[in-house]
Amino acid sequence: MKLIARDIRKKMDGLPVLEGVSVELDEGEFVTIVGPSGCGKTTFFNVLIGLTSCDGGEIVYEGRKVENLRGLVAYMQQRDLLLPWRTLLRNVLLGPEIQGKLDDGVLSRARELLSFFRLDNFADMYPAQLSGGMKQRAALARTLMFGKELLLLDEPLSALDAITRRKLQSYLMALSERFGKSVLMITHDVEEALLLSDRIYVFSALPARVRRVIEVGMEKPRSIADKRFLELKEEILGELLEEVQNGS
Amino acid sequence: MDRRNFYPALILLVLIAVWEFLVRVFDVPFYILPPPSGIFQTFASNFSLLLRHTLVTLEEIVLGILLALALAFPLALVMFFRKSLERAFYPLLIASQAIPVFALAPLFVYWFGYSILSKVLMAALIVFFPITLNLLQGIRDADRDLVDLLWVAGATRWQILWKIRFPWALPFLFAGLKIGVSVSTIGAVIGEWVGAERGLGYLMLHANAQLRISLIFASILILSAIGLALFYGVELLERVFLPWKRRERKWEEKG
Ligand SMILES: Nc1ncnc2c1ncn2[C@@H]1O[C@H](COP(=O)(O)OP(=O)(O)O)[C@@H](O)[C@H]1O
Ligand SMILES: [Mg+2]
Repeated sequence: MKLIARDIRKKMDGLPVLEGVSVELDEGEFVTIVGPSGCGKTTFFNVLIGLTSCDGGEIVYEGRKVENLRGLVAYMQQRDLLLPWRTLLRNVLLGPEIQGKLDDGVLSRARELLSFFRLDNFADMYPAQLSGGMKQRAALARTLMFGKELLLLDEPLSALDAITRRKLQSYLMALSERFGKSVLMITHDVEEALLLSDRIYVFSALPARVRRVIEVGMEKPRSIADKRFLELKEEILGELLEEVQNGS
Repeated sequence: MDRRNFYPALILLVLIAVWEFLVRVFDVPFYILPPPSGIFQTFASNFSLLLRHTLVTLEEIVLGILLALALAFPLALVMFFRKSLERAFYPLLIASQAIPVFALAPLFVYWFGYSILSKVLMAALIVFFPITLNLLQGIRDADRDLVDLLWVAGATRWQILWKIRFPWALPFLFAGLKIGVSVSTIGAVIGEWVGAERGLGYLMLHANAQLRISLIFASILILSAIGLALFYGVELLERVFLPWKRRERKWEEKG
């Protein structure tokens, strides 16, 4: 197993937010977490990457128990978080730069990545000059350039409109299929989860538990019109609806 | 000329014309209030004198600004990294602003003499406050998510400071600098009034004693020009150092 998070517990201001969450991810897998908004998904990520402490549970990375995944993963949020004072190219180089690994090889890899994400013509532009979709693509390129095998993505496409989101889903697919990364992603888009994932964790309403684990097991690329796809989508939406109604 | 500057320039010209007109119509004596044309004449005939003293004052101001900058960076950093030191320094920093600077001028001259040092310190004291506070605020204000992004990637706090917090603080620093440099002339001139043998402040006192009012006006004019030039100089530096700000603005205008 690449990553095992076992029985993670967390209270915030006395309020339980994570009530024993366990998630597993194998080398090269694409795993997603869906759940009602405000149920604790981001909090779960924050515990994994060390931005908040947890009250119980353990994190095992590549067979070793670790405090958290700081320095071991590349992390990306809904906001593109590009540095406004840097051109796209220099934004993409941020990871190698803080790792002290800037050299010609890295530079040419950054340029290759930019052209894979169809941004080669914008390498010298500032983020403020680009559309939301382009910025998010640049953020994906930067996340890859951190050179980590495991990526944690927290609703990476949520800030985009539906059509742009559709277009960018193929890039997300490429993270595991082309670049061989292991991906753990939070999304609120059930279709997106079904299109991309090997496994889906459905979280309960606050406090979060794993309500259901779905091994999707369909060939990729998948079609949203496929019978099993539609069945699963209905099931998951039904469960989420139930959680939302129980939760409030 | 761009439209932004047109109306201020027009108003200024009108004011000067009215001034000239009133002085002539009411026949105000030259030693009470000289007309703009008289001041201009004084300017021309005392050019080298004015230039000499201007350079002295300018040197004091520029050195004062540089000194303030040199002190602001370490102090802002120390206050940022050590909360206890911030709690210790911050009230003092505020309190230092409650001291009227001109009350310190005699002391500075007493301690540091008629040399340039007392004037540089006066200018620095005035500029220091807005620069330091703005810098500290900018470093603190940096986007939490950006800081977290680097932290999660394993960056050291110096890397976070250098790659996120400093660039984030630059617009704040420039805002503070603009406030600082526009009032920097005050410190230098007060210092010169209290004790100096050169500089525009000294020249003004000298001219005052000799009832050469137009020379005082000429000095005031130069001091204002210095303040303005420093302000626009900082703005120019800002454009050079913050090219992305300009892009943002242009882009927003285009819509
Ligand atoms: N800084 C915080 N302090 C206290 N409570 C918080 C904080 N951040 C989030 N919460 C609470 O934790 C719960 C989970 O939030 P979050 O993990 O962001 O949800 P999700 O990402 O699933 O939408 C929310 O209901 C919120 O009220
Ligand atoms: Mg969230």
